[in-house]
Amino acid sequence: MAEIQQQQGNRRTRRNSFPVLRVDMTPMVDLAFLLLTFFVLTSELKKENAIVAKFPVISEETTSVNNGLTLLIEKDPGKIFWYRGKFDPSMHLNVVKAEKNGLFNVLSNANSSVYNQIEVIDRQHKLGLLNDKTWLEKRSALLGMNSIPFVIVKWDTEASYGTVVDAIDDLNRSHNNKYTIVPVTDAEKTLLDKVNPAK
Amino acid sequence: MPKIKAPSHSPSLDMTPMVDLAFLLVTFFMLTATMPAPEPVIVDTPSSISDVILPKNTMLITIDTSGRVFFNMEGKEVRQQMLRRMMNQFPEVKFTEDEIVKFGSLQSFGVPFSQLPEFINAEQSKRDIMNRDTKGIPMDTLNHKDELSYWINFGRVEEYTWRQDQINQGKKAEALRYAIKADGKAAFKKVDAVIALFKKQEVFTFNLITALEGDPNNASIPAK
Repeated sequence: MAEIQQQQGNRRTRRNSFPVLRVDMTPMVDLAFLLLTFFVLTSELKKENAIVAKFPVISEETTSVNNGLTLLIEKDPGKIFWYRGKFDPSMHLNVVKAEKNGLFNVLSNANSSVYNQIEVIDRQHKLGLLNDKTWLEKRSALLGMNSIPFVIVKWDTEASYGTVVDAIDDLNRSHNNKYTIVPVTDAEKTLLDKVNPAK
Repeated sequence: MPKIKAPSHSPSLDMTPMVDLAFLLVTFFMLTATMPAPEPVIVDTPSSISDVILPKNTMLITIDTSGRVFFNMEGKEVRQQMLRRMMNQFPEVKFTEDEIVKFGSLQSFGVPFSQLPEFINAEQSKRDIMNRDTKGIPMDTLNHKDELSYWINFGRVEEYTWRQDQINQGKKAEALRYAIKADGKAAFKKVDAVIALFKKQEVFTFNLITALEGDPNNASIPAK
């Protein structure tokens, strides 16, 4: 079936020259496609990307007088506690479910003016109404605005890396670019244990 | 034996162009595919919607579920020079010239420095066992046993020297990036301990390796 077709025209030469060379190419085709499949699969499936995260050194004084948001990440990856403004041992902690954009909604609401404006210019850029230069200029101006709240992500000793990364991802998506990641304080830990006793 | 008469128009198909095409594609994918570096441990990274592609010139710290730390540095020369510096720091561990060369083409490792010669000489199956049993690279600051900090420091110094060489030769060289590939289930405390070592060396920005995830809002996140 799959062999090189010998030219049939000149029969006289066949008599006293080499026998007809017939190479069955089927196994070769099989091999080639096997290799092809292998390389296609290995090169496409391995998609890795990275979040660029900054871990600045911030003094405890700065974090204690935060006017923005504080997220408390605990052992349970499905629940994130948060409060606004200054910490108070008797305060009410808000709870948000991590899945289904729970945390993302909290963060984008806290940053609503910048978030909405960036969404608008992103859409305009996508539709071709804004050129790259003005779009990037507008973006960086918006991302430098003072109205972006300062978010402190505080982790408990039992918090998993995945939950913290999810929080960073939500921060990036909601254009909250002012954030830091620090361990929880003892006072916050006490309050967390009170609010969430089931362990 | 009677002669079989071949049909004048045989239904055979010439597969030569197909083979050509298949091998062309194979060659293309072979050349473009970047083989994933052999990982010492299986790490299930969390996912994110970030579209930042992992940079090329990286120092990679791998942290598995139980918080064990593995270290990898790219570049043969850099690795060899880095090892020489480590040998000066810990003279009690002896390496032969051959082992230094071999270390250059090694990948991620997670054994204490004292076990490194054994690890270099071991077969792959033995290395797998060592990777399974190791407690990771020691990073306790007591008794000058903070080997990870030394690896990081020497890796950075040697990478810088190498990069300056490249630039002096008129070649392009990307700045060194610091990548952390940790398991989603690993305790953040362990990751923070590694970050704390970097902070001491004034490194504050990291590439946290994640698996690509579709954006649930389908909002466009532009590349930085």
